[in-house]
Amino acid sequence: MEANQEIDALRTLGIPPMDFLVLPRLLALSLMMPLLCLYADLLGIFGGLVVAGSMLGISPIQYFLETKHAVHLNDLFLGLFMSAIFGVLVALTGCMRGLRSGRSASAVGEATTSAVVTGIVSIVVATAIITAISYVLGI
Amino acid sequence: MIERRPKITVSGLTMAYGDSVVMQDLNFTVNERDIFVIMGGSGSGKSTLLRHLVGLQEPARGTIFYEGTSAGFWEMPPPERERLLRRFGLLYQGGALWSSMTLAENVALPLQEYAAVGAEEISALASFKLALVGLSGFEDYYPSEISGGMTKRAGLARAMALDPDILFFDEPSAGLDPVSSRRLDDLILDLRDSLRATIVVVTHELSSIFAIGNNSVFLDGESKTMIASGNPTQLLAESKDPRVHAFLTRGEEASRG
Repeated sequence: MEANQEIDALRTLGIPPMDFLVLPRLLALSLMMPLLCLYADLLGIFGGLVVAGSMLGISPIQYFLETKHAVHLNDLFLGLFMSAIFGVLVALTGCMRGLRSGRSASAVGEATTSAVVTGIVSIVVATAIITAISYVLGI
Repeated sequence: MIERRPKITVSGLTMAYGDSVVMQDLNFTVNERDIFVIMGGSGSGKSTLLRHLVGLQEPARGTIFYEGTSAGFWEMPPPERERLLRRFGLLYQGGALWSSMTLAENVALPLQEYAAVGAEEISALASFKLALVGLSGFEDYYPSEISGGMTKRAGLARAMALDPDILFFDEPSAGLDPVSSRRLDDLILDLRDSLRATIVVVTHELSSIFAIGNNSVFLDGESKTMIASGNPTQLLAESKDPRVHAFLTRGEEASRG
């Protein structure tokens, strides 16, 4: 967008790029990532059911009872919380690198790579911090 | 002869990127209903000057004063600056349409932000502005689905959305064939007369400069300052500066020796 002067076009209209570009992405990702996480959790449990039934000969009822025993609601909520944090981090790093991008085509590529790397690093750091806090709190 | 009021007054303007000075000591006035051309060679700082005029870049020194305001652009209170920005329309070199929106949505956005009218009126106004630039029927197209010339015209429709009294054009003819370029020049002249707007154009297309410009400033990249100003046709006839003459004659006189 910066390369194409789209952000300049917003600024000259007096529309802050933060309101128009960053906030919607931040809201969308922080709301949708927990839903994606829930979807992945359910698919994971279903995948486990298929493997347990077809390869290990475990009945569906037995599988669900064992799953219920092994997985607690805390695990689910912690996963949803982490996914919301990751959504915020992905939105912020993506927008930050995008808004600071240069105007050439190569600068857009560099900004994209930089956004991915910054996003991954920030997710790793956030995971470490949340895991450490969860461990201390005994969650 | 009708006396026209100064619309933009630039005093002692110095433009710089960090410590690197691009242009210094720029002093000129754009009068109301002028078609004011900022001309000069490639890399002389024309587009940078435009960015300063529309408030995208802060001057290192000097002031840019707009008619009807209480102070220079960067000295005035932010709310007044925002009101001033709504008087501007800007056509970027590449159109700068928002790629995720249709042409109608692009034109409608400034209206949604600032015009106190309902959704139906906004939609009708967006279609009207697009029709003014010959893009009737293209309301639902995305910028990626139209040609370069159409992108520029759609950008112009968006620039006109709020009926601005000052229109800025950055290299409007760049990338256009001669016929489209001529049509755009005619459109600029029409806009000056129909909107009663003041128009500032950055260009180095000689045919456009002489066809539409009635006032100008010439930026020289080597001396990093302006070396001429006035009506381009008069400059061609009267300027004694060889750099101005070489530019306005495409260097033909110099090459004839």
